[in-house]
Amino acid sequence: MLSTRAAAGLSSLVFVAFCVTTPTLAQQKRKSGNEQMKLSAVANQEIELRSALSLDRNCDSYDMPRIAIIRAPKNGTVTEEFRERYSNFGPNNPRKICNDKKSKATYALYRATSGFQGVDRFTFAIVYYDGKTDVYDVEMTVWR
Amino acid sequence: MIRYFAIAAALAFAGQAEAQNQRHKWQRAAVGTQPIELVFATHIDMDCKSKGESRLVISQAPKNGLLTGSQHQGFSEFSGSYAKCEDRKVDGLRVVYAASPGFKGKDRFTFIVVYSDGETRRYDVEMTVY
Repeated sequence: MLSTRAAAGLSSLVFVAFCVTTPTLAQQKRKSGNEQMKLSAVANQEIELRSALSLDRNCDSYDMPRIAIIRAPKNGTVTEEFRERYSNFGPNNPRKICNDKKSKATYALYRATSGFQGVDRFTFAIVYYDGKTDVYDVEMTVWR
Repeated sequence: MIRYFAIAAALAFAGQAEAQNQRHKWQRAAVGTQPIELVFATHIDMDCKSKGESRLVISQAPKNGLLTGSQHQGFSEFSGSYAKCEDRKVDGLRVVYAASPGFKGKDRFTFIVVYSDGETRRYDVEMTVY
């Protein structure tokens, strides 16, 4: 999740200077299809589902990623919060220098409804500044 | 959610013949009025300086939001001899969509980026607003 996408391989040199780009390098790796998550929670426990950040090469943030709730949980809530955390860009990413200090990240958090015990299911997405998304289907087992 | 975006971006470099009248079909998303940077279009020389301003043509405007183009300095991705330009901000055209307050659902629009040498790229966008 925290590694970054490889740059698109561009074979032709004819138009390389002629670049329309969505700066995908700045973002988290995306997988094809919805990612399935199986998680557990205890009553009243805040569960960190995912966090995301988008930094440019100066470690400045693009517009913050946002959380979209596509299918809401029936027995809890998914909330969006902005918190500071360390990034962990890989050694081949020029943004690895950003790992030295904390950056603002968007968090998706889950909390079960008080008194609920059982399985809660929901779908949420991280929507990045360029409109691309990562979608997650969550099966949450809640213990009392 | 669909994500063939990287392929679309890569295909944009296939060569001069293909560069004429290129057309992309994109699916993107936004949360509320979150501004979405759809493209950052640059056209640079070997010294990483802009060869001229690109302009935005809105062919079919969004019904439930605003599409704007502005000259911007930002980072981009390049290959070959231009890869060195990735470590600095370059001039380009930034195209941003923002949904109207309160709107939720699908918005569709089409825009064209016209480069200073007359080349064009066309984008058909289906935007899902949460």
